[in-house]
Amino acid sequence: MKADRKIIAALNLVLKSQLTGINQYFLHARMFANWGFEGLNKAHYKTSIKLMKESDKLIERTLFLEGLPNLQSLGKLQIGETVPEAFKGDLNYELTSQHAAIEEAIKVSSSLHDFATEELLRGFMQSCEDNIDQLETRLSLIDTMGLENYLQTQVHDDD
Amino acid sequence: MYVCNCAGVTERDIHEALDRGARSVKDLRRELNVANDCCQCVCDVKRCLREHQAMCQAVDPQFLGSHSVGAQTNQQVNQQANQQANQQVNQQASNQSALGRAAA
Repeated sequence: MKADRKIIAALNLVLKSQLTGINQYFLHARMFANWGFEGLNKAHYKTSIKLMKESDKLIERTLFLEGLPNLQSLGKLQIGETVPEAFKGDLNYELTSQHAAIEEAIKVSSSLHDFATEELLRGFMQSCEDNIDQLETRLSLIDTMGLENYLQTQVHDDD
Repeated sequence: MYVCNCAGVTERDIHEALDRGARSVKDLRRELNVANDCCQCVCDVKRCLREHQAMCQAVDPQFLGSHSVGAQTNQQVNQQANQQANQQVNQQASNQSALGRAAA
């Protein structure tokens, strides 16, 4: 099924943002593991894999619409040196890159009456907002309970 | 935060390099290897340069370091300052000798 070029371009922008997110979350997850925060490692790893599955759906959809998914392009990773910096980088990525790209793609697909694509994107928007909520909660927890106390809750025994 | 993910360079590394005398993206590239691979960090590197310049000017309004590409290095600025100082000293010396001759 051939789709408008504008839809393919918008989907490719979402894909670029998702590929950036996969790498950013994955690197942060393994950095947390390296620092000994097993809880944060697991959570970030899960988010990265979820984004990977979403981008798989997006690639399939783009191919179905007879476009070429662009897996070459990658945005700038916002990597933190500390746990709060990493959270802030992730939150900034979700708000400025992911949320904006999905919003634009929903607008384009809706205006061109591609409702199946729109539905797919709405699902992505839901998980993007879940991630934003989770990151905001973590940052507010750091504010209320203090960084040391928060980090202590994320150190899990290996045995 | 990491500014350049390719070279693993942080904001702190860049500010330290600027404190040591780097004055342009070129200088930073030579010293830290930033903005050399995918070049996605150029904007952030330039932001660090602007921040550093603003900070230096807040401390010293006469701060001469320009952060544009191809700008003068600290050494060049120092050399110019030395030359000017030498000229002034020479002028004073010649003035004094002229006064001495006039008195004689």
